[in-house]
Amino acid sequence: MATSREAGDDVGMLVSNAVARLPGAWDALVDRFAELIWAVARGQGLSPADSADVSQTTWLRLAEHLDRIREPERLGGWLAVTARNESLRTLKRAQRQVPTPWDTTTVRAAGSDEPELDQSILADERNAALWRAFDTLSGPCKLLLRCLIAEPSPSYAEVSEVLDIPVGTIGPRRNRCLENLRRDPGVCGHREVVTS
Amino acid sequence: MKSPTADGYDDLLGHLKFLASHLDPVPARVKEAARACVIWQTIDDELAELVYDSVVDDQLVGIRGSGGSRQLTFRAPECTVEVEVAPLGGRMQGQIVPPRQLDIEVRHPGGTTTVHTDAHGHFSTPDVPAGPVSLRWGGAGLMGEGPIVTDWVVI
Repeated sequence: MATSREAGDDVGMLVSNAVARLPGAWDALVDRFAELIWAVARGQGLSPADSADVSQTTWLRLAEHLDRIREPERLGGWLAVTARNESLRTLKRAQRQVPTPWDTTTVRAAGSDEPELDQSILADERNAALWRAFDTLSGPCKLLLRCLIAEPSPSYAEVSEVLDIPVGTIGPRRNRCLENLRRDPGVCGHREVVTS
Repeated sequence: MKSPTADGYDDLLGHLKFLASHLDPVPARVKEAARACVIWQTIDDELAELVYDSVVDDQLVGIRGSGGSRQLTFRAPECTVEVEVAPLGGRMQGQIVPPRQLDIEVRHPGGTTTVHTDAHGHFSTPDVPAGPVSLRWGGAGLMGEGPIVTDWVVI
């Protein structure tokens, strides 16, 4: 718990610097939380293009709310919950829309990310099997693991807010989700990877 | 078969982290967009919060798949704005209540367009790019009312 308290104090400082508009303070917040926000959107199954919208909307909302944040040290949780709610809104919006030219644009925008990706590591069968298994995990497991592997690592308090579960249950759930992954037939076949 | 140890789980999580960092990192343009949001940081604007979104709230009573327009309601202490977004996004029309004539800035990350309300508080916007949008009005020249901004919403 000492570690997460230190992390909280650190975030509180980042927030007060950003409120005071110190140079680089906003960028420091982005460096700290951009990946967690991305993880929340992608972990709920949104496309890269929709995840980009969720990310941008989350940061825009912060720009309006920053001066009103009541518990600065809990900003990570606020951002993650905002991103989660915006992701759900996006999913519901997609459900009721029939495909339109606008969606085609979205797909093209998503495709433009591809040159940045390093797909070569999928040539390794073990990597490909694990990534495929990860992709087919159940929703809550995927979101949990996706958040836990964000860099820098979120605090358990932040993860607890995203998934709306008690902090004490995160460890057991994490292990259960990893066990499901380990037992995936594709991953079992390459067990040396996951136990070495 | 060995029983899995905590270390085994840590290794597996580490492997996933490695894969995600190569196969699904935060795109550079997404980080750039996040950094650019700092220019929208407001100081003392009053916030009109999104209190109703037909996309989210109507589904509670089973209305879905209509493909109709989307209704949004933003509420500030002194006034309310009702907005209707065309089915394919882009154009918006709305009304400010209580009605008054004023300029409304339609803000999106690419820029700002100003529209005017009529005597009944009605307004309509030209096409707005798909993505986050927010409205802002009030401030200088209006009696006793500071600027008001709405929550950002993706249309």
